[in-house]
Amino acid sequence: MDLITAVIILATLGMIFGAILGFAAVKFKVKGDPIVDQINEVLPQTQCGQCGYPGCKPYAEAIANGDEINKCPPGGEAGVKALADLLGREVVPLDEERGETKPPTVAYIREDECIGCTKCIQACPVDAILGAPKLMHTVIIDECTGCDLCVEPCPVDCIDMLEIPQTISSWKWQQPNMKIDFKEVS
Amino acid sequence: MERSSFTSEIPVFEIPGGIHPKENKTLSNQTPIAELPIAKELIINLKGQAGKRSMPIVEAGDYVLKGQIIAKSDGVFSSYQHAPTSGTVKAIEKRPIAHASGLQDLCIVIESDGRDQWCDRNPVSDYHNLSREQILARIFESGIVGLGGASFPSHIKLQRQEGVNTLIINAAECEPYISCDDRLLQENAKEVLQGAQIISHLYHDLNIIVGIEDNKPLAIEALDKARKELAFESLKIGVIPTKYPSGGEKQLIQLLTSKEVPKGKLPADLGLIMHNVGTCFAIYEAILHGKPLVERVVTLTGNACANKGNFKVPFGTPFSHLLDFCQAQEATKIIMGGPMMGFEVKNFNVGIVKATNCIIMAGANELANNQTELACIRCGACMEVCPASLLPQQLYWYAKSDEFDKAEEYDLFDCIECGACAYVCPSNIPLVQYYRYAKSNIRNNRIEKVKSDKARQRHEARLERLERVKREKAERHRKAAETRRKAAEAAGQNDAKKAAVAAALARVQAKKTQTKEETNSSEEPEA
Repeated sequence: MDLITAVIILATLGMIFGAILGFAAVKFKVKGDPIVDQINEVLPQTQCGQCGYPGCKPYAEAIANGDEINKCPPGGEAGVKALADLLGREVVPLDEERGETKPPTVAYIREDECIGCTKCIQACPVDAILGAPKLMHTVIIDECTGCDLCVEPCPVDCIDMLEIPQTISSWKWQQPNMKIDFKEVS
Repeated sequence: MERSSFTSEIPVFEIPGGIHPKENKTLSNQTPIAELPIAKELIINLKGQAGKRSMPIVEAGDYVLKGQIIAKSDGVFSSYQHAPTSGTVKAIEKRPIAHASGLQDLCIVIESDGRDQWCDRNPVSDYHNLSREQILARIFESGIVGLGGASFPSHIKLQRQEGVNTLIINAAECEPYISCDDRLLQENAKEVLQGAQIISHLYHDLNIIVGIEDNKPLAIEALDKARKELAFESLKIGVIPTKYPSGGEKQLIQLLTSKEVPKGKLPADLGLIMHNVGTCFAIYEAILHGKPLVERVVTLTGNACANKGNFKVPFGTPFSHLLDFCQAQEATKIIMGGPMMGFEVKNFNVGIVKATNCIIMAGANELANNQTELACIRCGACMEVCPASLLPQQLYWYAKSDEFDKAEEYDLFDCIECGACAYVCPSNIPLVQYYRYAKSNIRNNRIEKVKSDKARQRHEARLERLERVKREKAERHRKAAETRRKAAEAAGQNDAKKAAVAAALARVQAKKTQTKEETNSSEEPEA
């Protein structure tokens, strides 16, 4: 008798918890792949394509599918480290073939020389260039990610990539250098 | 150093940590506040320590009078600037400024004419007739910022009204060497208290407490005397034992009320506001004398300084002018601010700013910090002196290894950068610089994050737009093809084909005649 009661109770409990789990699986279903979004958050969103993919999101998808995490020069070593932390992978040095980490830049159009061909507008991944056919174009500096993609298509070479000058508000304190007096060992 | 025998009128509580460095205040607090000859050229930096840049409203070549507005606030988070003396605006250009970075920023350069002539002033004899908004507007337009060191615009601090019941006047001046507030109280206690009364009036009467360290007996006496003269009996003098950093805003609040300002909250959330002695004096001058903030009391001190003391110095006065006046050729190091929280100034062509409370001209072996940084021995001395009860050692490891999120978890942003930890460190580790390094990187990363989020949104919007354009184009083509097909069906198939061929032929013909005409017209001039 006891045995039967026990079996019934356990079976009932099993069904109740099964129902709860089943309900939770439907109710709290995760849409999409959250890891891709998390990787995309870490990437610098320059949209420069140096990684070989047409933007940061496609590269994030590729990483989620097992691609290397060292193909993003704008993210630099810090970016690789953040990705490694996120994905629990080894920190690897940046892939040099993809280019080197440069200080942040913005595109600048020498407006006198611009012929208004709109080629750079089409190339800009973040719509940061204003202009119309046969009219002068200009870059919205605050929106420019410094991706370099507008430089190549310009037929008159009137786009420069300028380093962003350091100002009081962008200035950072340096880490103090550990000064150790080494004695020369002969 | 002499201690006051005055017993505190309110109970005084304790703060954790703290240190007792050599005070060195008698170097500069023995003589009255004096005036200096005006420098030939004043360099007024348009960006305060806190806040954004003010916008210049004068042009090079303009003649300005002392107290005339030369730069306006952007209306949000910056302050007005006034000509500190009469003269000609020589230039508005980038000049090195008094900042730890040594970088340049926009400055208004005024060549003084030596007459120091005031513009028309507009004093108010009885401020009780003015509304709260009018008084706040006057404080705003007089360019008043907190003179304790952070130069936070005062009108913003005074904006919030609800719940505030107590004003604490910060006269602690806990950092060694600095004595400008001490001297100001000794000589102008009455005016300072009148300034405090104006603030109190803004809130329809507050409890007022002066928080002052017991190493300023003369200032306490002066306060007591001024209180009697003004029949201002409700004022309470809270005398706290001398300990660094008792003068920090949160620390002084804790000492006088035993309340701790919670993380992410303001003193106003506890019903408190705090203003520095110098700020109260500036408010008094602005309202009752119509004088905007154009000068401040600066302590000039240090072993290499021949004329130690406190001086009224107009803003923008170059450091070089002050160093010449003090014959500080022997100085090994020039520090703006105190020895604990100040920074070294290397370019002497920078003008003093509203935050410049002290300039230390250090002699040989004074404030030497050239000892070698050694490895941390995990002694924990830093933890014992931290007034914010943080774990400085832990923060140091995280800052050093760039683990910024960990440092944030350990409440890096509650660090007030007082330097007590670095002062006691037996390994001479410049701990505060590590914290500043971590803080500035975290701030920068936040800005970068906002920027990259925006870039992502713009990129996604662009992709969507391109997709939409493509779809619409395909739709248009499909529709056009359909209309053509229908028209063809209506006209009968054979006719449609013939018509299409005829149309194509006509186009070719038209092109041919056009090119012919063009070649003819180009040949004409030769003929």
